[in-house]
Amino acid sequence: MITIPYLTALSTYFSYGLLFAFGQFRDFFRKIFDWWQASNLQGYAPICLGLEDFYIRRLYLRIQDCFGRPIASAPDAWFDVVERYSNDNNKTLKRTEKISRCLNLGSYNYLGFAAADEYCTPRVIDSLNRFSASTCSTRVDGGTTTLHKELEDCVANFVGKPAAVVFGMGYVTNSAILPVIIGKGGLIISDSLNHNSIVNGARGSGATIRVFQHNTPPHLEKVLREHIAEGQPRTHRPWKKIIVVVEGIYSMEGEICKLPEIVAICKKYKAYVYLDEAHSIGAVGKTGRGVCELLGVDTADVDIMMGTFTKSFGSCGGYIAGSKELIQYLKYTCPAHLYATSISPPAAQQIISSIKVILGEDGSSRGAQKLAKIRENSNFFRSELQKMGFEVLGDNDSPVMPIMLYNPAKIPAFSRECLKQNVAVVTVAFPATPLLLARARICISASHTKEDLLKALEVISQVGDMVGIKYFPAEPTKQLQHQHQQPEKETIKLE
Amino acid sequence: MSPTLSPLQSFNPCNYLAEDLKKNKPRIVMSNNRDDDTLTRVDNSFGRLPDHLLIEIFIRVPVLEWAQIACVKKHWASLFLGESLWHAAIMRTFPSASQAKRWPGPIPRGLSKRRFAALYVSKHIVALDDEIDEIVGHTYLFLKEQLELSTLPPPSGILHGTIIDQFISCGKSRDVAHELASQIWLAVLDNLEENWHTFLVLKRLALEEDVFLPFPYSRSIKVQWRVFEKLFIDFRDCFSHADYYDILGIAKNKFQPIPSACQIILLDVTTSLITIDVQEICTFPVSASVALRVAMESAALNFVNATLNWVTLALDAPAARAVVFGVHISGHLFVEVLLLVVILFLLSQKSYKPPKRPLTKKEIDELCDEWVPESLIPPITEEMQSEPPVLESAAGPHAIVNGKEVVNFASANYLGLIGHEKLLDSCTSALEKYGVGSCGPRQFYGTIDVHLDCEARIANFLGTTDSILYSYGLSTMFSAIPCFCKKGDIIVVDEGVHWGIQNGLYLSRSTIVYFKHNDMESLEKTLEKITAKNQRAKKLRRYIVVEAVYQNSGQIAPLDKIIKLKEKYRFRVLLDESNSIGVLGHTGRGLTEYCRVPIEKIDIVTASLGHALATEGGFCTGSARVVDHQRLSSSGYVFSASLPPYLASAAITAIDVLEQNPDLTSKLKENIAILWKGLSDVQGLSVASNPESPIVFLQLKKSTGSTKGDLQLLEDLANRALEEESVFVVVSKRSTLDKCPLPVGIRMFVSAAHSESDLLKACLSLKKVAAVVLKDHIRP
Repeated sequence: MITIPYLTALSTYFSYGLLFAFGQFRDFFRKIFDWWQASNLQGYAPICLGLEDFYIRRLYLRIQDCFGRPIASAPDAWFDVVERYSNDNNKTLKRTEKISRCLNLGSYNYLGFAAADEYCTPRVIDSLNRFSASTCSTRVDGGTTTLHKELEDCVANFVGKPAAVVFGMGYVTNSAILPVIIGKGGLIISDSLNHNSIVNGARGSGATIRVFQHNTPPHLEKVLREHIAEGQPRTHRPWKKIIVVVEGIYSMEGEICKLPEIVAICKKYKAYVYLDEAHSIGAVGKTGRGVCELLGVDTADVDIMMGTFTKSFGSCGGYIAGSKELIQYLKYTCPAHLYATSISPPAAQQIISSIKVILGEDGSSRGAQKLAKIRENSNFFRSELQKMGFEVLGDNDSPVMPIMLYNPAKIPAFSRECLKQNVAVVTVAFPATPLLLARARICISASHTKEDLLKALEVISQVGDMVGIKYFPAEPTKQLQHQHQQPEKETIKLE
Repeated sequence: MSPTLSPLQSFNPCNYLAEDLKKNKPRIVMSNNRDDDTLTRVDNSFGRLPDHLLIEIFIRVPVLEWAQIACVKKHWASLFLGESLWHAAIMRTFPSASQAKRWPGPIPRGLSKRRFAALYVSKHIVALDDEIDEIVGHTYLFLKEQLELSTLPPPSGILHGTIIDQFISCGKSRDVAHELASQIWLAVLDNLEENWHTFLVLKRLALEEDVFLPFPYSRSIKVQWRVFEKLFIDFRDCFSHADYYDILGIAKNKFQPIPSACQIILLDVTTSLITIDVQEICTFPVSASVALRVAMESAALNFVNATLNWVTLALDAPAARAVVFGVHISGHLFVEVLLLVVILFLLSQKSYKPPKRPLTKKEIDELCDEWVPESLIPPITEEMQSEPPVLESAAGPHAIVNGKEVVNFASANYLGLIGHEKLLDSCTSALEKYGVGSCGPRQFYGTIDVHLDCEARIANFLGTTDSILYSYGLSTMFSAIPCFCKKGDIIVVDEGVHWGIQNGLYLSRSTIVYFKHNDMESLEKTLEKITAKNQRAKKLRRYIVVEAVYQNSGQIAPLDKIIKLKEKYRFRVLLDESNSIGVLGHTGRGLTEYCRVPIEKIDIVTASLGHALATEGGFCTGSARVVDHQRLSSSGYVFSASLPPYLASAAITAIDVLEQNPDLTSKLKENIAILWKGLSDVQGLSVASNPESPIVFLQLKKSTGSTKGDLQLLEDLANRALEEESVFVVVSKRSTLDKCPLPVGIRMFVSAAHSESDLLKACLSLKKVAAVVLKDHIRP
């Protein structure tokens, strides 16, 4: 768990308090000036109520430029960030024609398939020409092409399950599958930091939802025992079924799921395991088969394996892999299969091709190299960051590494300063993380070269000093280096 | 001493009388034996005094002397017998005595003489707190008379009750009455003459059985004690031997069970007596056995009585005379306060709950072992195993299924843009430039310039200020709705909406009211009911959710009427244009254009790009506020990777193509008309969709009775059409999660790319197949 320093917590609260107070103050004046607008509503209730959009208007808009930066190229190791300007204090941002080439530390391009690839791209364009960009139909109607069939077989084979079904969007995969496999009378035990799509899917299912402490198997066991013994709320009937939902790699924490322990517990208590491998599939494991491979869990023990193609495969969509019967049932009744447009054929081809590359079926060792590279890059970058004294979350081997920022003012400072030096980082604040735990997130890619990483480290270290986010003392050897850097930094400042 | 000595002020009758009495004493004594005349002669001047003066004189004489004065003259005696003298005496001696005529209570007040006596008694015999109370005297006199005069006085219980009643009717409190009654009893007992009659009375009182009466009618123990005390001390010699031991036995019996604490209170009166008695009982076993027998007879009653007495006494003892705020605190108040305290204490305690014993570890283990979950999915039936046809080519108007070219009516490729050269070109260049995926959510470097261009292009095309791109058509509605509707808001929605909307409604947790499918009367009624019923409705956000062209029925929503209703009842409108963008209206701008409604009137418009525009994803448009709000609140937008850039660029190109080729929509309209006409007389099927809808919806004229049966029949029909006639039509399948109540049917998506011959062939084939498949169904 993240232990936030006392003083930092205090100052963070103070900052938010100040922002809130000023926001309220401005709202007060706005109300005075806009009182006549109330009659403009003509009997309608305002579409955004009271404080609903307060956070956006008074907090988010101030630092809007740190988010949603448009890019004008593929999200590869280096990409073109479009510069924007604002004439009204960041309220609206206008694009310019100017671009700056930046090091990409933000995209989930773990294996570097985001950019044009020598093996994938020609095949993708071929499929585009053959199947067009869309089928305009759902999978059960006219939306199943040979490519879709191939993709499903390919994915099932890759993740190590008998069958798979694919959807056109990762988010929908989670939020439309959970209601199908569980309903009223069921219990979903979800990790406290699960992705919003799981939360939404669980809510949509009508099942009872309980949460266990993030990545804490003993607590999961406690929750399971408690709820099996207690049964359904009020009626105390036994649960119809229990599904434990975990993620392979937590995208905001960079932590790898303690899957072996969780699977053992679920087996013991006869709960089904639902594993969301959105960030881990392709990125970790010896052959890129995700956390199961990395942690040595038999895929047969994981009942439902979900994943997305957005990250490692550089495409879009999501899959569910499981037993043949499960997939048959899903294909029969899952709304995402019945009502949603099938995955775009070129995207499907991209997945097939990238899996082939990963598995070395393209006839080269590029896949293995990419996997080795991302692992090496991630571990190098993580250890370097830790040595510098940053508070870095996450486990080794995970390509996601959040750097804790805490104070709201450090969010734009860190992001803007890095961008100034052509390093594009992602900063994450409130809606995606708890209010106090704002962070910068670095996603390492296999396409990053050593030089890229060194540059990134240098910039981040510098900015980290400037912003004051090195919450831990730096490691001694690095400290020397650090002290050497100190005067340099001062001269920069003087300039 | 002449009568002229009239001024009364200088007249001192007292001295005068005293002098006179001294002088005349012997004569007065004598006068008892002589006639009146001589007496009148003795002192003429004194005798001539008027009565009121005489009274004035007499009342100054000490009371003890009055009997003698009364003997002096007949006239004087009559004065002493008369009312006025005593009245005056009362006025003089007891100025504070009540003058009231009426006297409540059972004991008579009598004339002034008796009142004087009563007052005198009150003052001198039972004076309480220096306060003269007339009733006390009266009750004293009453009791004394009853005991002394009558040969057979009523039982002491009745006497006591009368006394108590008298006190209570004179306004005394129960406790005071009880206390006073006891004192009067004691006073009377003390003042009884020592004669045989008194002995008999006392013996009677002692022998009287105790009658259990509630407080205050129960005689106090002090009185009973005094009776025995008097008998054993003053009248000891009068007893016969047997009587003595009987009485002694009763005394033992009466006072024995008193616990020591109380006994001490009693013992301080006559300690020695008891000790003597005890000794005597020991030395006379016979008498003791008699006493015991008596004791046993009424043991229970006596015990109760005695205990009660003891309790009363014990409680009275510590607070006998306590006064708090003018209220006499005696025993029962004490008990009541105690009870009150207990009640308050009990009330303050938590209500009793059976102790919740947590399950032991073993029990939980057992429960966990016993629990058997349902299987993850229900058993697979045959219908679940059906596989959809697999296309070996693009899903254009003609597709290859199983190596055979078929006419495709399964793709919503309304404008025939699948395989359009311009689209392919733009996709290819986008793929080369941007790669396939965007590798990130919009907020985190997933925004690519084509996304922004696409949003601008859509907004520009529809005439709105801005739009927001979603990466999947299905997620558009179920992300956008919860953004604007929260718990408590009201959504009025058509019952035929597709699952994406249904899920959005469910996730919003708003109050959802359905109206009949595409029925404006039902909508109006529903709106009327909501606004009339709910006064608070004005402050809530209210929405009408409709689809432009219903995916589940092919109906077109009458937007102009909806707008009228919306404006009348002040609802906002959420319109799903998934199947109408690029189709309806002469330039393909959707239902708003078709119904000539300015798009500003629709608050939120959503649409899927996966139909007419032949790409993927979805968008939502409306005012700038509507769009901006979604950028941070819409979960499907914030938490999902963005649309692959090549699809966004395809959408831009598709809109360009649509704008450049307005004949596409007119061609589509023609095709729809041809198909509609051709299918209007298919055996057993009826066209349920709107004549202008690009979805031609064929329904069974006669349902088999169950959705499953209908589905099976239609599926059979569709399969035959595909296999035998190479016409690819599909049945509207329903997910188990879908709550749409509309009947299922065959759904045909008409495309502008279909040739006339395709359409005619389809009509013909369907007729042929329907005649075969539905033959059995129609006939019975």
